Amino acid sequence: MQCPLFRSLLDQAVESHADSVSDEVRTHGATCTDQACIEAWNEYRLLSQALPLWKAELPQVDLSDRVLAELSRSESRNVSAAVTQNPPALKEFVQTSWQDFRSPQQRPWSIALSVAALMLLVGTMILSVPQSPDSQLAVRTRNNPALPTIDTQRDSAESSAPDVAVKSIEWVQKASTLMATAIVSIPEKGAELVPESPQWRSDWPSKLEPLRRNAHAAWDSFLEKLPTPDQPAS
Amino acid sequence: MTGVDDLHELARRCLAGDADRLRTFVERCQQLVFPLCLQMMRHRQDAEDVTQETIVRAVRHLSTWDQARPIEPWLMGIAANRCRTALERRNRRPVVIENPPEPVSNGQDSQGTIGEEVQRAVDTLRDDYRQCFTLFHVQQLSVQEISDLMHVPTGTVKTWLHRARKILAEELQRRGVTAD
Repeated sequence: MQCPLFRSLLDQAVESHADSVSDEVRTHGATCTDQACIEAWNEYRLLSQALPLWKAELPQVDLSDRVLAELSRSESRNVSAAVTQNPPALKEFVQTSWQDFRSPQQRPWSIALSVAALMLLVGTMILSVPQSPDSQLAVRTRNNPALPTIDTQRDSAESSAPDVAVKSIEWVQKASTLMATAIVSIPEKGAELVPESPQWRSDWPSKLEPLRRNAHAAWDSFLEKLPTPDQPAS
Repeated sequence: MTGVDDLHELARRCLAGDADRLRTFVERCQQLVFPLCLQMMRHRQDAEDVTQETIVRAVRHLSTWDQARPIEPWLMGIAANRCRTALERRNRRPVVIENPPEPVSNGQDSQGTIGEEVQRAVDTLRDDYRQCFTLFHVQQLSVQEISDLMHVPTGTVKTWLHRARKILAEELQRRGVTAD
């Protein structure tokens, strides 16, 4: 065998992942004195023995759980993305409600419900807001220094019976105040209700004044009959 | 049936919706992918991260694999691309003195096992030689498959392979490792 053929066959064996070479190639490699053949043969034998040992010692790794967890996470993200791309239930509800509101059959009911909800909301807000001095409502305040406060009464050893009386008086006071407020309150935007008589709105307080006076007198008379902590009921 | 056939069949079953085979497929993939990532990244933690990234990407895009062809080159192509991307990313990062890229071997000059000596010699190869050598000898890819994967002519692959083997043999002989 010629040296160039030997080296060519050796290269082919390497490039084709051959496990071994023919006896003819082996014999040439063992006996040839050509320096290039000796180097090629020594390289082939050395790596044929060393590389399997190197491959056997390559570190291994177990990433299965990490990979599967990552795949699971990405799958969940895909599902979430798919869900968010669909029309949400709230949006669908609003669209349906708006269509109902626009239909002539459903409109009166929708308006009535909206007005009722608005009135309820406004009423709740009015009752929850504390009375202020600049309130537009004409409220007769009642400031009776003879009435002890609940806090001072709570510290008293004999407080149980007077507490009930004081609380009752306060409730009655609040009720009378609310009633007087309701009677004398004037709607700010009430002009459109009686457009044909503009002066009627300005006359309203004067026309209601006797009624308001009578109501307060009645409540004052009633309050004077109630017992106070240091005075029995008359 | 060889291992290559096993992986091919596993991939086909996963594509057919056999979820029970997914773990086995992942285990087989990591045996192939991790050695290449380790040789290219030369850092175990980075290699693990890129291996995970490669397999996740492979599973997600398994439908793009041409079932008429072997799956290994396709898988190695993803791994090589991921490694290159990770290397570019790592090179852009500020140098961290405490945790620099390290050779797979322990870097000491003392005599170790033959496997350790080979690894030290592999660490001395330039990047394209090392990738070509690993794909050929560890992943057992053909010259043509490496050519397709690395986007170079087959002649270049042969040249790189023979130069890498020559450097390795010389380095081993220099370190006193000889054939029986």
